[in-house]
Amino acid sequence: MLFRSALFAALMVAAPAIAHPKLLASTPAGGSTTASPAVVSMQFSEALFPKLSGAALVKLGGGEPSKVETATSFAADNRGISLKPASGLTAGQYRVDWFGVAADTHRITGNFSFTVR
Amino acid sequence: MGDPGLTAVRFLLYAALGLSFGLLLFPVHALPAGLRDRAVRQARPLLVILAATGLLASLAGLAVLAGGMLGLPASQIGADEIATILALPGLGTSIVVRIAVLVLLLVLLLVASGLRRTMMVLAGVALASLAWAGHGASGGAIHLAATVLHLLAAGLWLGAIAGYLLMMRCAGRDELAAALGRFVGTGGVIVALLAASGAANALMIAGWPLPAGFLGFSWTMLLALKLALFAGMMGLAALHRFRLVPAVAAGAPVNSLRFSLATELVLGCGVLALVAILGQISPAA
Repeated sequence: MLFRSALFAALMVAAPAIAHPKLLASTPAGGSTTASPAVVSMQFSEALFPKLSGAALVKLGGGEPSKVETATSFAADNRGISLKPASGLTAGQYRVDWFGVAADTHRITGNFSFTVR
Repeated sequence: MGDPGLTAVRFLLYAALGLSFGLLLFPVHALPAGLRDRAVRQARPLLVILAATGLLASLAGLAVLAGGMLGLPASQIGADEIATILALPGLGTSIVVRIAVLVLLLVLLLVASGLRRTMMVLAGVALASLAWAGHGASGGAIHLAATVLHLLAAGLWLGAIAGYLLMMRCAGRDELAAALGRFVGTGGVIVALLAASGAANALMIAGWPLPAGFLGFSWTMLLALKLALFAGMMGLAALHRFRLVPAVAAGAPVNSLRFSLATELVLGCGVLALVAILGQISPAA
């Protein structure tokens, strides 16, 4: 009876899949055009191991992509990564390359781009 | 599908640690008190091999895992990289505990194999520690508990098959028939535990409502294959209970039962191989 009740409760409550960690949202959003952001932030679907996760900001266009100097920090629940550029971003296209490992031990990578006007 | 090195390591860990735990628990549910220590002594050489395999696979798995998690080739994995993995909360602790209890289990098997209950607990802890390496670690305490339960129940089943196969080599017919007869209750409990914890785990991993396209995922296909093998094991278990075990008790040769049990063990290993892959892929991929 208890098991049936528990199963019924489990079936009635929506629960997200336990998949590999995914990028849920970012600021600036991928593909957006924005003023120079003070911080580039990413929100993930699962808590990441900070020692095994991170992100890099690179400026595109005009030959080889160049890495932008940033300071990386993690949200208190380890579901967010923030990159704070050392100086304001100049106009142009940028790409964020991120990588993350969550409790399921899989290393996941991805990227998104945005434009600073 | 999945990293081949990690798949091999995961399979070896599930098989070696599941069989160790199940074999050490086998005398408790299948034999009368007076025969239990003797059964463990007879299984000791196999238990030593299984514990050593579990220990070596744990060490090899650590290097493979470090490479995968840090995104580095095996040649670049050194002490610092290993230390980084071992320092991770949950996962790192589970690996340290597993290696420690397996070393202790090996020592006891070699010098103090009379400590049957202690060895059983150590083997159980080593098997349960595998819950922290895979999807079970991502979903909170309930998912972790269901994964631990699933691992222990599966180990109990595989170890029982191995235990009966070992018994066929040296036990008398009456002793064997009595031991086989005692599995009816244990088998029912194992299947109930596996079904309940497995259903809960699958729902927690896939999410509810099921994601769009669920039936087409590789993860779903592998899970269906695993369930088919599980159904095959259940069918053989039913064959044993209703046909082969009564026949052995009535005096028929044990050959049919031995072949059928060996087939059940092979199907069980197939399940473990699928689980070794399933834990690495995502149902939403």
